[in-house]
Amino acid sequence: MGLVFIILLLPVTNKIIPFIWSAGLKGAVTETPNANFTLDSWFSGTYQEKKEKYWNTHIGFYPDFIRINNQIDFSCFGLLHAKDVIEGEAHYFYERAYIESYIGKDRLADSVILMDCKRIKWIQDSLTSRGKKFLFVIGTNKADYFPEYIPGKYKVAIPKSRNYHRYLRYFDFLAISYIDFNAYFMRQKGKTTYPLITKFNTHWSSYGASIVSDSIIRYLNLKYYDQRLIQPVISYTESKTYNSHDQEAFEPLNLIIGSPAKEITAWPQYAYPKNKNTVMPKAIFLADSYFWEIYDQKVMESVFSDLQFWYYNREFWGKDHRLLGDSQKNPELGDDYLKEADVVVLIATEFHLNCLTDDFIKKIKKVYKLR
Amino acid sequence: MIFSSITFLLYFFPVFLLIYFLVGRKYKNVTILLASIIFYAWGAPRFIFVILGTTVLDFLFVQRMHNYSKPLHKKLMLVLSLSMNLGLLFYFKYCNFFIDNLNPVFDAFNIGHINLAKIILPIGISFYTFESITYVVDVYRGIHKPLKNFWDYQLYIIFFPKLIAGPIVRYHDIADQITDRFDRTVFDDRLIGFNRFIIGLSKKVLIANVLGQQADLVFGAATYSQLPTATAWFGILCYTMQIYFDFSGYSDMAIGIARMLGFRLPENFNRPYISTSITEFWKRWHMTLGSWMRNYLYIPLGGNRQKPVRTYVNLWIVFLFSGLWHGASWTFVLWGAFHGFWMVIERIGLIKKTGKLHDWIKVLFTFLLVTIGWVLFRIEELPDAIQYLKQMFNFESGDFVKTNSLVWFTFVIALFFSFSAFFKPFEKIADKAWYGLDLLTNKRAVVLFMISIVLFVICISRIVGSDFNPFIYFRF
Repeated sequence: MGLVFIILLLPVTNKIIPFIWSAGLKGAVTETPNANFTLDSWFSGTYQEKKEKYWNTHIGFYPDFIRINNQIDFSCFGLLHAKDVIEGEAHYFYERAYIESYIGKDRLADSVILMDCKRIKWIQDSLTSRGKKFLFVIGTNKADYFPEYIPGKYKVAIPKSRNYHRYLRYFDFLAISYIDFNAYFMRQKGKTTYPLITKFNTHWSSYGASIVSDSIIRYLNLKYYDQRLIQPVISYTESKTYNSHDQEAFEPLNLIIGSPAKEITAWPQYAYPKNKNTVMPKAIFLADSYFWEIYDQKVMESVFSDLQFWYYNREFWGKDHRLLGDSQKNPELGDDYLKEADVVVLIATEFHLNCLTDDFIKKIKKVYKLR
Repeated sequence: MIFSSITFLLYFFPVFLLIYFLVGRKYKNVTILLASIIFYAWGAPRFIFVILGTTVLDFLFVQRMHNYSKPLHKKLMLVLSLSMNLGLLFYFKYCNFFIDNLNPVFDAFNIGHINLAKIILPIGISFYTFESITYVVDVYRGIHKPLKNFWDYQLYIIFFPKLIAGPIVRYHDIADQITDRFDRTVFDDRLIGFNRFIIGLSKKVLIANVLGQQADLVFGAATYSQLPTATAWFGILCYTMQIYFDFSGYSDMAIGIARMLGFRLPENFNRPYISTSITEFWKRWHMTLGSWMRNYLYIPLGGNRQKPVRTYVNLWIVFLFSGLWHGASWTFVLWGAFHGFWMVIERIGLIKKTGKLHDWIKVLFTFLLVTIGWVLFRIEELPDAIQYLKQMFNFESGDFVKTNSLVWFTFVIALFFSFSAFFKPFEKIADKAWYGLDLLTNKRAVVLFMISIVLFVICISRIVGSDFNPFIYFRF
């Protein structure tokens, strides 16, 4: 009977006096607030309801219990407990939105796309007329890159011209400066030493991100800076294990056993050769989640004298992973920096191409007092 | 607080057990009583006063009844107690139902309109009302003397393992155990009780919850008229399995906890889905309710001693009442009527006429009837229930409901555990496994305990890993 007590009491005891360490959960975990006791909340039952919810997620070994549950579902039934993550064939993981975009489920009207492109063109013109260098970077789509592994139920007739293609047509038509990494990666498929996109990530791999960083700087050097920007020299360390980024779609599954497949990946190291002509401008990267790995590799921090990463125009990040603030709480955030910045790079994957412009246009108009 | 919640499993239960086993014999019942009050007050803080108050009054009524010598006075006390108990049940559970049904009549005659009262149903009221009645009636009938100690009576009514959803314990089944169980309780009881509790928890969490979620997906459809036939059947079959594993799992947990404390509660289920008739089904399903209905309603109405027609009417009344007991809705009444109808048909001669048929045909037919009945039980609005039944039989094709391998696996497991005992070899294995729980050798005790611990960890993982953990009989 003693053993029964020990087992029943262990989780709560470990929560109150932690004596066995549990690794935390990966991915976005919503924190459940504790309940405040009042007589009213007790008699209405809301205290008990909130407290039960709180206790559900605040027991000792909570992450371990979650991992056991997830592992059983994954290993025995192929079920994934991560929002919008889909397992394709041969253990290739996708985010649902990428596949849906690939099969044309998010198709936009031509007029909408044209309007978006005109906005981007307006941004480009407004910034370049003020002496800033502008570049639009199109991220990859894993479903486009690995269509052969997407799950059977999504293997439907693929539209010849999806949003992505039509955006590109208008980009060309309106002479927007852009690099299309989706097309570039597709051309490089099977030709690179290491995977540009791994089985378990949704964006580009660490190796892929290094290629992207290198290309962006090379483009800026060629088009605007006459090779005076630092062009990093990249070397790679080969690895048989994934780093956190290279299995970003797998880690939030929170399993006990690691990823079911292996690839040889590469982790980049950068050297930054300078000379007397080197210039280090200030940059803004207004981007979706595709910029995170580049930001984490700190390559841009070393190339630019200062940078800000405006994540969806909402979270503003500075150098050294310093969160500067939330633009919804502080609309003035980044106003001064926009005036100072020399380079503005927008980065988005195909289904976010229309997400970044609206607030940015408002900011430009506000900062430069335009109508 | 339900048994399969983290609050109960990891906070309330271990702390209660620890205190219960640490305190001396003298304080054990007090510990259970206080724990039961906390248990009930957690889920229904306002109604704890109602339940405590009615037990005081019931206790006094019964004391008086016992002391009176004149039958008329005894009867008066009986009527007073029954009126109070049934009155409260009527007020909390059926008041709005009757208002809802009377208003159209009042409207038709332009009499006026009664506004619906803001009433919250106290959890477990249907169960503890019936138990209070058994106490009053058993003492009135002279089956048992009244308890001398009020706190013992309070404990009988509010005993937390069976408070919320039964088994419905007759007063005389438990009266002696309240005071005399200590010398008979051995270590084996605690282990057997714990294993039984874990079996119930597993039935609830690993089977009922999975199939319940699937059933909710089907029954949550915006409109039933678009439901393909296959989906409609799959939905109700999932529900059929959910309600059995949910309720029998809860009963197992209640019986298991009580056993750990030295109490022997009556069994509530005995493989109901292998019944060869509706009559047999009701001897295997919610057995304590069936027993209550027989002893406190059917027999007082005349039972089998009346002329056949009167017996059939009584039978039907019992089932209409049983349906209404489950919930204040016409679908529950219809569900009771449906079962009552088939009971009467079987009594009239169906059982004799189908006597030569193979048992599996009878089992399948009975299961089909029970499953159809669950449609009325599951869907609150009558037009929706009728539409759902239509979809089950109109052979419409369409996209099958979204499901996954876990649901299918669980569904097959549920079918296996529901029906395997029908086949003789499996019946022997099932009997050996089930009754083996009570015959502990050292080796068996260790193995069963280890299995229980593994199941316990998996259940906790499932509970924290899923938001879906309802309990169907909680609302009755």
